Amino acid sequence: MINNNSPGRRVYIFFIFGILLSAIVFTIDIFSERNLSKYLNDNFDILLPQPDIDGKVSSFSSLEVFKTKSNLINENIRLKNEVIELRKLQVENEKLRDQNYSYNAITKSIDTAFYNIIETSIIFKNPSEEYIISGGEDLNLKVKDLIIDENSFVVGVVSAVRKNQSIISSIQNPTFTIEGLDKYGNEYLITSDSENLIINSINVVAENTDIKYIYTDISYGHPGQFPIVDLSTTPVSFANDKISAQVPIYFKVNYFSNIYLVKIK
Amino acid sequence: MTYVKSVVLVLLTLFLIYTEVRTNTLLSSIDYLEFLPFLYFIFYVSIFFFSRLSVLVVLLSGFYFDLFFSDNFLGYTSIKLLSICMLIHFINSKFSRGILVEFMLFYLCALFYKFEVIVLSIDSSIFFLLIICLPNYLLFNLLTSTLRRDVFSTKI
Repeated sequence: MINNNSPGRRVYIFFIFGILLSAIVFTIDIFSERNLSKYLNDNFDILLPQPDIDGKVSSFSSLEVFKTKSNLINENIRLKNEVIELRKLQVENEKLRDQNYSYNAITKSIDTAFYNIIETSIIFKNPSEEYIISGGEDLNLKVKDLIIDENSFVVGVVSAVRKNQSIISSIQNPTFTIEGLDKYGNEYLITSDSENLIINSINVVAENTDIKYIYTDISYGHPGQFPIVDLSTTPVSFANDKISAQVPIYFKVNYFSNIYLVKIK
Repeated sequence: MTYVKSVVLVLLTLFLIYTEVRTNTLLSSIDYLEFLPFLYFIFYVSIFFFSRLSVLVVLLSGFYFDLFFSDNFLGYTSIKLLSICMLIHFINSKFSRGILVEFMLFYLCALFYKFEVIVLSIDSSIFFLLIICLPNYLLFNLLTSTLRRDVFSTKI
């Protein structure tokens, strides 16, 4: 005989109650246009320890040496400390040199009179393959702001902005989509399948496949014209009044990538 | 005491989510490697700890995830996680126990856990996830066998 009041079944009912409660919160959040989640996010950020991005090199305090020890031991410790300090300086020097190279590269390709280039970093990657970067409302970021690499190519778009962090959709994300223009004024929709960027025209003005770059444009809500793909070495096809191409993704966004945010001055 | 236990469990689970997200951020340059401790927890709840207390823990964990680590509306992840727990527990209760069945359930749990990624590119993601699941399942098995061992009754 089946016992309908078994404890196992009662737990199922509690789980269903939990789902209903979540559904109510979900509905409230939809109808409040995310005001509920935004309020909670702003007020409970104590629960999210921010990783110290600049503090990757830990600071060494000076060692207090016992005066009663012999001079030799003191000297040895002092030398050891010096070596540690020198290694620390070497790491910092290498980091600064790399940063300098990337800054040089990026300032060569972007007109810094019009744009603010802000260095950012990946702080979290969630199970849905979305990346969370440092900088949000505190940097006056907006949805559709661009993330570029050292060569000023677009590698992501800001999809949600929080108080001091933002969620980006990177070019590896299968949900990534971006509109672009070529030099003839043809309009394109660029999507990703994680491995390749798939380019399809949505409005053809000039039937020409001699396209080098496809750019973002201010008319699509982006800060300006930045290259999305380079088609100079890729075969471009024209069929049924549509221009299409496929470009492999070489740049992989990860924790160690040098990425930058673009803001109009 | 029960409340203290609940609060501690909730805080530990939030820490587990943070650890998972942070570790996977550091591992983001390696395609075939992911560490999924929160998935272990969800699977553990579904199989061994399917109780009233776990509803609250899973519910709050989902809220935490939606608030700080995703673009979803608040409550979405809680619905997903609670549904996963119910489904896995139900399937587990219908099948006989065995390592292969348990692994398949773990894999199914991972498929639901990452279904936003799976849906967008089914063919490649299913294979990737299988590779990711193998070391994670081994680790889960190692952890559960260690946690469930009754050290006081073991003869030396």
